[in-house]
Amino acid sequence: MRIALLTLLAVSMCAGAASAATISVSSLASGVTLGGSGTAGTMNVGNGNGLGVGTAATGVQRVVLASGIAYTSPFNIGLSGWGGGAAVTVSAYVSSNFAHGGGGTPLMRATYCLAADCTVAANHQFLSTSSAAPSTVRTGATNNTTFSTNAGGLIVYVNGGTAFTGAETATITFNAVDLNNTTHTASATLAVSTTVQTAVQFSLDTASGLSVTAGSTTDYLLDFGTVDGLGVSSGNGATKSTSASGARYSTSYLVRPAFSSMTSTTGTVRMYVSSNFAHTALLQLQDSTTGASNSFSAISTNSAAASQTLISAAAASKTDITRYLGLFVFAVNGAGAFVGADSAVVTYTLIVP
Amino acid sequence: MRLKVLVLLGIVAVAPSAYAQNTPKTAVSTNTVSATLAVKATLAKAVQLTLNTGSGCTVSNGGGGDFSLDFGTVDALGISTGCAGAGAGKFTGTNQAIYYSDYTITPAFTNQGTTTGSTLSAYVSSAFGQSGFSIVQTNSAPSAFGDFTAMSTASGAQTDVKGGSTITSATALTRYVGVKVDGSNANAASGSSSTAVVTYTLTIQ
Repeated sequence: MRIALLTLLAVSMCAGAASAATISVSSLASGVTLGGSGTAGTMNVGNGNGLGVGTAATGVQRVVLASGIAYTSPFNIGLSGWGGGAAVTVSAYVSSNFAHGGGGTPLMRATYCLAADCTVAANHQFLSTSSAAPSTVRTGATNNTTFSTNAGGLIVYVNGGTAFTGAETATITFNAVDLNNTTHTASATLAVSTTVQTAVQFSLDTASGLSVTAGSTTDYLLDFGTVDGLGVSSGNGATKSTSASGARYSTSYLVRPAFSSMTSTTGTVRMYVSSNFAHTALLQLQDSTTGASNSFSAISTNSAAASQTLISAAAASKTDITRYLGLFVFAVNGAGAFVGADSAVVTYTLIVP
Repeated sequence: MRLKVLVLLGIVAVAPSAYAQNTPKTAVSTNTVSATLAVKATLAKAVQLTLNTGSGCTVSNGGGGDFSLDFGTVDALGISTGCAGAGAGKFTGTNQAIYYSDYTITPAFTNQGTTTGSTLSAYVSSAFGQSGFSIVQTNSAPSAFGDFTAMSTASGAQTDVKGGSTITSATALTRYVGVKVDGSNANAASGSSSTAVVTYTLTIQ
């Protein structure tokens, strides 16, 4: 009877230690404010897109990876009740994947970052989706340890039939085990959610000709410098061709459309002269696909979409279009002559159906 | 070792490079985005003067000046052929010969307040090194030795090349230039060449 009592007491002490071991998730000041509870937290990284444009939610670290954009946040993991000799390993896996996280080419991926600097793309890894082979988050953690880590969702850059938008949620399960006493385990979950949006992007850049720079009152600026109707002036090094009516200064430049989460894989790019030169009898903006001297035509001054100058009706995302902008200077003498600076504005529009 | 390999495979590939150099215009939850490009230029006045072959001697680019015209072999008796061409020829005088050729001179100008040029003049800025050689000219087709006059050698008192013509931009004028060979002077030995430079000036006012 006395022996039996001692045995029961020992079992009771072991059970007490195991039940006290916990793992919990909590907010980090620099990250997203977690919701839920310590053992079933929620992390909403807000709106996101495959281009990483727009404003990220407060506390969200947006990192450009090769396949898309990771919207992540730092947070804390706390360990308590493990006993003084504990050496705890924390692992994680995606126990409930994003709606678009499956298949051979998932369009959403749960990510984690263990490095001190999670602004570096290379420090982000994909979380395992297998409970049998989880990703290791921390090893050898002692009791009452709190450490910061980072997790989030990768929105894969995609267009076409597989593109999607809307809310996505994945649940990450964190498992902790004391390797000095593997009967001591604990778990917590973190539900990571985001709302995938469409995104469009457009930029102009320098090709092999004149520099396209940031504008002061416009988005971009191209300066032909000094020009004249005989083609004598350098035009900042632009290509020159002359005819009986004047001189054309021309340059190549890059038209760069990009978009994501669109069901169409191509868009339409148009342009028109939204603010013409003050001296339209002397200066005219022209466009060409090849840059050949006989290939230029005047850019539309009509804002109606159907009347604008078409750059491409099948512009692919992240595919540069080399285009040529011509400035024709009419050779004029007499009362219409003008010496001095002039400028015009061309408005470009990308529309993805 | 096997564990290390798995970890490396799990690392997310880094984006190869930034996509755009200039800051892109962006929009979310929509299907359209617009951007504006300012195109600047400064208009300048310009003038241009070009000499070209008429129907006589060839006028080429370069050759010691902006353009060059080579009369070839000449002599004071007018025996040598000079250069060929319908617009080229020779006249002889007493122990003198003029080898001449037509040429075109095309003034062009833009962004000037006037549609017609004011003056077109020329002078010999560098004379022949050989005595007995000189530059002569006429603004109309010559028919005799005496139709030619000596081209000025003074930059301050240049020969008028405009004549009675109106100087219109991009409209060529036909003029005549010649080499007068005076046999009464002690010329250099036969076979040696000599060069003079004529400077033309177009003024638009």
